[in-house]
Amino acid sequence: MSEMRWHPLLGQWIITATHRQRRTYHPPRGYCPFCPSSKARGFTEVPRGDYDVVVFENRFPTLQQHPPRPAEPGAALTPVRPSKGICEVVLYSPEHRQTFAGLDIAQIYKLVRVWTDRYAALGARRFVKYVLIFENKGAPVGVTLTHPHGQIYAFPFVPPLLMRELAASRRHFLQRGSCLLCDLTARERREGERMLFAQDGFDAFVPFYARWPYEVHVVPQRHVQDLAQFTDEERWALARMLKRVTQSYDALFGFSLPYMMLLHQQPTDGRRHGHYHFHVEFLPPNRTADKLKYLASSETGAGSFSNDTLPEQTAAELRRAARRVKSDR
Amino acid sequence: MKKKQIRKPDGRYLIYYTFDPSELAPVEEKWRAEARPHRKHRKAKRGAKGRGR
Repeated sequence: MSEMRWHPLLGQWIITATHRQRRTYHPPRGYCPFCPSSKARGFTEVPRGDYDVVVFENRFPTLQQHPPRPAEPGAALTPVRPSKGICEVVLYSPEHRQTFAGLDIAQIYKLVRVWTDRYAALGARRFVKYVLIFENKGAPVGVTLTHPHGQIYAFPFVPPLLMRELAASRRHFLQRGSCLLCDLTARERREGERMLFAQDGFDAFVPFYARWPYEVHVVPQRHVQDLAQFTDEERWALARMLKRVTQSYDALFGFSLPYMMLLHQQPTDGRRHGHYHFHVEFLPPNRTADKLKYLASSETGAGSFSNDTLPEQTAAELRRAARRVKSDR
Repeated sequence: MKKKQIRKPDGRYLIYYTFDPSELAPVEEKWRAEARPHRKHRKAKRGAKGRGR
């Protein structure tokens, strides 16, 4: 059963997707459903391995192109809708042991081009209002398939956090006539203590208001709303910056750091969002090498984050980690 | 960038993306031409000059 149920207290859609209970959880040892099919491995999700990047529809999607009719009728206060949307998996490489940080810049550039293509193709669908490109990496964020991959959700609505971000951006623009993120990034550049890197038209920093200890935002200096507005040189520069951030993460504690990475772009709802500013958010769950930050009652139940670290200090740690990275190729 | 879309037996689509190396080279070259040299390299260059004097 799969449907969208309206949460009247929070004013947002909740998606039920009971078929996902059957999704692959820790596949048999030695078997990866994302490695290319072969005689030795048998059939997998990907018939061939001669590709740069592969995209396919998720076998256990949260949102479906042809969703079933809702099982429950809903009511005036709690309407129900079919969970119409698209969920894709993006494989970064045919190589199983690779990670984002281990990809060379040319490969990440190819990935950025593919993200751009998927953003445009999915966003062109009439029912798609928001294209969320993201990566969950590592067991602490629920990943059981280690083959390097990300995901794309094409939503039939603008997700609530993005809606709040858009509203804040719009409000700031109406009040001050400038872009909120341009102003915030200018402050980060001016103060410098939370900055990690500023290169080729992109800035990476731990934001003043970080919710997670090692949260990093990557922001283009040019005011653009989505990947489709980038030049190819900017896509290359973004690839380089993303590699630098992920390499620094891996150098931080000496292991491949888990994270959630999300591309924040303007919605594809047909409206103008010229006030909005594209950026990438990295949200790693670690607060130390061996301790995780859990989203407990305050965060999950009340929506109030507390950060056990100071962004100025974690930014300094990340800068020191970055100096230990040998190459950015 | 080339795209080849196929249908899986269960009806789901899969798209192979491949890139010709020749389409990447100009982007990297242009980026390199526009990017400032890495600070470490600039420092190394300065150091090399200094040693020669």
